[in-house]
Amino acid sequence: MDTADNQNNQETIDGYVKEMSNWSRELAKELAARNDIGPLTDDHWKVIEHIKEYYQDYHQGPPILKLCRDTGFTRKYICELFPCGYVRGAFRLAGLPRPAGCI
Amino acid sequence: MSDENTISHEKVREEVINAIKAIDNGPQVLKLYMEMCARCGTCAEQCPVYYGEPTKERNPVLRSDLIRSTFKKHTTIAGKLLGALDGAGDFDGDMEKWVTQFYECTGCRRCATFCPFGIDNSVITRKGRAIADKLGLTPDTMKSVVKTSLETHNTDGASPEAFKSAIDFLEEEMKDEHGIDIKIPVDVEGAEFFYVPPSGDVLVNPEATTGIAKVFYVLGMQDNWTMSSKCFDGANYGLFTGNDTDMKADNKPYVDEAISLGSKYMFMGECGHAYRIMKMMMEKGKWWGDLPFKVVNCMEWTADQIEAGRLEFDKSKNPMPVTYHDPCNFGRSCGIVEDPRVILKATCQDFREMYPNRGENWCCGGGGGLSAMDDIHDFRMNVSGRKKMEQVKDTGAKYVATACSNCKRQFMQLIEYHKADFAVGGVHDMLSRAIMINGKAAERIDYES
Repeated sequence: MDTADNQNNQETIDGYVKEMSNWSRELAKELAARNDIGPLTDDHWKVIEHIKEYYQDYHQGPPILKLCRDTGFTRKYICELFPCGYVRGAFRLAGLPRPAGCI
Repeated sequence: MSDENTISHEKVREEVINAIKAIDNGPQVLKLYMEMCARCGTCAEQCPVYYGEPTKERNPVLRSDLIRSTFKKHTTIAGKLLGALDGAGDFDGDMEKWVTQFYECTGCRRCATFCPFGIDNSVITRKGRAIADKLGLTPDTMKSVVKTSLETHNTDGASPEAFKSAIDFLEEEMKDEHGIDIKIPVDVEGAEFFYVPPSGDVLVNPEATTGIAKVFYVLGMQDNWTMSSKCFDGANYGLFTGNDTDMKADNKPYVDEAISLGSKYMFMGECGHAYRIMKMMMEKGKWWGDLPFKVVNCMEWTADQIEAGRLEFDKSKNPMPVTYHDPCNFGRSCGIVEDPRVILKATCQDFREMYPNRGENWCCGGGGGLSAMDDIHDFRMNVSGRKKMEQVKDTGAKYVATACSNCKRQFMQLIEYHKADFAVGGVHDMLSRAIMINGKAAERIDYES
């Protein structure tokens, strides 16, 4: 675990946003830098906003196919935008909590 | 850790030694593993972790010796008399090393296939993890998966609403693909088949679930199956932390749900360890007595339908070279090896084997729950997953089908890390793209390229 994670500042825990109310664009940028994502483009933000919106309704991120459909991006492109993975990358930047299992 | 939770070094040593001594009272198989090892090193040559980095720390014999040498020292006559000459030695109290090493074994059981005595190091690993768990030393990631799963009945902590939203989306998706309504029934009492996938096959990579829905549709059995909005994730990390109480507690709601739905079949999805727990551990009547349902796997079922000539496919929908990675829990532990191949050969134009395969397949490097542990990402990419990448590369495949969310996650990370040019997905995913409904396969939006 990197040292930034160990600092566990007020907004994050283990590299994930502690609570959605702590989320800000600045924090997303910081998490992006920590995880070698970005610099964040409009397409990154489009994905992040979609995930945040879906999460507000269902307390869960959307299936990747739904995100593809809603944004018009391919799965491959989304993986390029978020190299550490859809769940561990895009969900993390959107402020979702640390995922638990195999996904 | 707060003061009251801190156990003294001496206390830890005592607890570990007592737990190891207790192996003398069984299980018998574990006791035999303690006594039989001839230290021939065959297992090391067959271990994906040792292959990735042939050092002492990665050697399965020496890892298992963490427990074995203490067992000998305290329980066997030869060990007591001969000490180190018989491989006996006392536990050094280093729990950090203990936890690290037992969470670097993927529990794939490949060693057991090749060991002349059939020693299964995964059983020893599970014991090592169980001892750590009892002392509260299970890695945090694993702890949190178990906790979430016990609280919500799924490892992602997803709500019934999130589940239903994902199902609605999949139904819309199938409507677009085929122009007709193909149902994914939820919470239907009296449905014969109760489908239990890994949650990833609904929430993240859901094509396996549309594949299943389409098979039932074609067979005219739309009303004979159901999913549950409360129990939609067969994953059970109690198997991986070595905690039997957690494993059973995680399993129970699924058994209760099958009974309350009145289903005849617990219809397990593409998740190796979930199927192994239900079929090989739970079903024998040991945990919950006689059960009014049978446990079947979706791949067995679909393969039977294909062989009976009840399904038709347009293979041109899957033109790329496809290979199959046998998840260890299906291939080595449950004998589900031919069924996925029947499905892939029927649905893909260019199916290729990777070698070795079936019961001798190499682990993806993320087994035993390791795939969920991001803190050992580098280890998984460079050590435990190394052999797998070489194997896939030799096939030239552009799509690796595998029936396990754990393997898929490991593969996705391997692909990204090594900049590899192939995709990974499920078995029924391929079926979903090729199955003919009313004479036509899906008009699918290409989300891949």
